[in-house]
Amino acid sequence: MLGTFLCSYATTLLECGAATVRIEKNVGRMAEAYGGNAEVSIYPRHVEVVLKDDESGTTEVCSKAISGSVINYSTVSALSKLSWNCLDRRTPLPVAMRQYRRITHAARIPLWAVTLLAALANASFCRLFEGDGQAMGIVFLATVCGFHLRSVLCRRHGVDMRIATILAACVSSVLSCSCYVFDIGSTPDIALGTSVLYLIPGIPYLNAVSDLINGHHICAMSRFVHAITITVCLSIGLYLGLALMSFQGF
Amino acid sequence: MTATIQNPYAAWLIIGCAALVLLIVFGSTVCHRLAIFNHKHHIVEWDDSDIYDWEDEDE
Repeated sequence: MLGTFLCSYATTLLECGAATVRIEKNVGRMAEAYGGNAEVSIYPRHVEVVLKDDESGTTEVCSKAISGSVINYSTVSALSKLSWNCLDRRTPLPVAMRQYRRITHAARIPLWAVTLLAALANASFCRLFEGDGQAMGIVFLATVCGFHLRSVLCRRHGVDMRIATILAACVSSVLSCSCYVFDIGSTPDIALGTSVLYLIPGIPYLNAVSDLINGHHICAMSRFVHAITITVCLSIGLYLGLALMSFQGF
Repeated sequence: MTATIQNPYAAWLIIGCAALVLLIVFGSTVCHRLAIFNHKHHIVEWDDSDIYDWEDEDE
């Protein structure tokens, strides 16, 4: 039962975007809390946990595939806290499993809130690159439209994430060209450049580097290829948008 | 070098993009609500027996 639980725990961490070093440490900590010793093998699409019971000397091997990748750092943080609670407070296994289920079934932040926060963050990027207020406003609107479009296409209509990324980048770049077309503000180039920054896969890039440092080269390469794919899709979308508008100037 | 937009229909493209986003995001919701409204108030209705009722001119 402990092996299956630890395997599900590790899979959830991988799905939520945790780096391999964190998965190894957390699973090892939980196994230690219940008198075992765990060895975790992390692959791009599944996790394998080998649990050795120190008392009985038995070995249990569990493997589970991930169902999908949904980045959620609040879940990663809560699961990490759970592992510390198990070790420090000697939480019984059934209680820990109940807490795990509660964490994984917790409601996510609503889509509209995430969209607004992402748009605010992207508008702030525009400001960091010395864009003016009007450019920030256009970047905000372009991000709201592109981000929401990508989420709706992926979640509601089941469109492939790469195609949705191309469409979102195209829409955002076309909308940000309104600075040029309607002569809004004095920094239209910065609005155009920063309008697609929200699509850059920062977490997969960071995790790839972290996995590389930790020695999980297969996982690192997998995450790196995934991140590059998204970046290429974003570039294709941006190029399509500029080609549609017959943009000349770079 | 000054950047320029060469497309004469650029403004329409921007409006089209905004309309596309609205259509994809709210299109299914609007259709669903219209269907519920029509189901309740019968604004558009037809008689099922009339759909397959035709006169054969050859006879």
